[in-house]
Amino acid sequence: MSKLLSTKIADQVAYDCVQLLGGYGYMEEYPLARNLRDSRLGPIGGGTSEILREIISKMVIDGVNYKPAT
Amino acid sequence: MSLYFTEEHEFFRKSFQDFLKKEVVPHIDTWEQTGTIDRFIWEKFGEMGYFGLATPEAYGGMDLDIFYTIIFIEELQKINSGGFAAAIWAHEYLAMTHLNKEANEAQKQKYLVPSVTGEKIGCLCITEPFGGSDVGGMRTTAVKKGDTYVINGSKTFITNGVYSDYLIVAAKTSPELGNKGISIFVIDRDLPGISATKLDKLGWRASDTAEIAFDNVVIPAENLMGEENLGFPYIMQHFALERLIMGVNAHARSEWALEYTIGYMKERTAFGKPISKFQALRHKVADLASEVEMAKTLTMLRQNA
Repeated sequence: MSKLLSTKIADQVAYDCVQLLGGYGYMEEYPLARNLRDSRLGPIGGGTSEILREIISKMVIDGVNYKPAT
Repeated sequence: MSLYFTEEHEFFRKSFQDFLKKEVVPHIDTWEQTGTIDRFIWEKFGEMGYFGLATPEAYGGMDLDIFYTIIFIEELQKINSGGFAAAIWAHEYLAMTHLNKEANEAQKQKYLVPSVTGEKIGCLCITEPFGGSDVGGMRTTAVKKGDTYVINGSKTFITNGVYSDYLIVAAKTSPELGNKGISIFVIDRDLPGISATKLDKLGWRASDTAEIAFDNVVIPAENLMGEENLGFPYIMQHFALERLIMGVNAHARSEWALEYTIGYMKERTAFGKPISKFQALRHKVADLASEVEMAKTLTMLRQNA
């Protein structure tokens, strides 16, 4: 839930912060262009948001409880 | 967040910030351009003990609580190179987590101890070109022959995939059992039959991300980690930590972006006043800051659960 929500929020923040800098937000000379690029990996890597929603729906709808293996 | 961080935690944060500013930040733009992180920085991280935050003292680590890890991950984000951060945390929290949890004593001495010092870099190979999310559907196989396993298959999107010294690899030992037939191996980079191709990416440009092919790679049977066919539960269990890290990454880089943007808005003038005085922009910032605070609070709360 944490990764699902916070990576989505981070993408919104990255997008809006570029907008708040106007043209400079789009320039490589300013750091927010890289932030926007890098942020986009969040909802993909280490379990896509779609897979996370599958897991979360199994937990909240079907009552599945995930236990550690060791 | 003083609910979670003590004075010692904050002292650690400050010293890590200073280290990053002095040793890492001056090189970031170069590494972003070349896509290659210089080797010397790995040993500097090792010298400072930063790779041992979650490793027991017996193997050279410091075995600190999870909030040191969170601080480490947060500050790595705040130098604005997702790629550099990923290279570091993929080594310490993906590869080394498997070593810490499943490796036997000999494997720990051979791979974990030099990982703490930064002499050996690791990577974790799970995703394949034909299936990332579908872990159970992986095609890479490990066939037992005498006292060896023979590995065939390919992996992709592997962080530290080109320059790492060892690979933690998931492969099917019993393909007929689906996700119940996966095992985990630690494999030396320099074995015949392993080749890596660097990938070109939208972002994370400082990190070396690769597709890796295994062509009849013969490894000693003793390189099996933990028990045969328990790979899937091991992977799923450690994903929890990876997802925590990616949650922390998200709130930390958002805090950094907002701080930078607010600073800019106070300096930049338009229509005779700083743009930080325009209500439409102020409310946008207020909304974003609130969302980030909510995400951060959720992630931090889950650590005590």
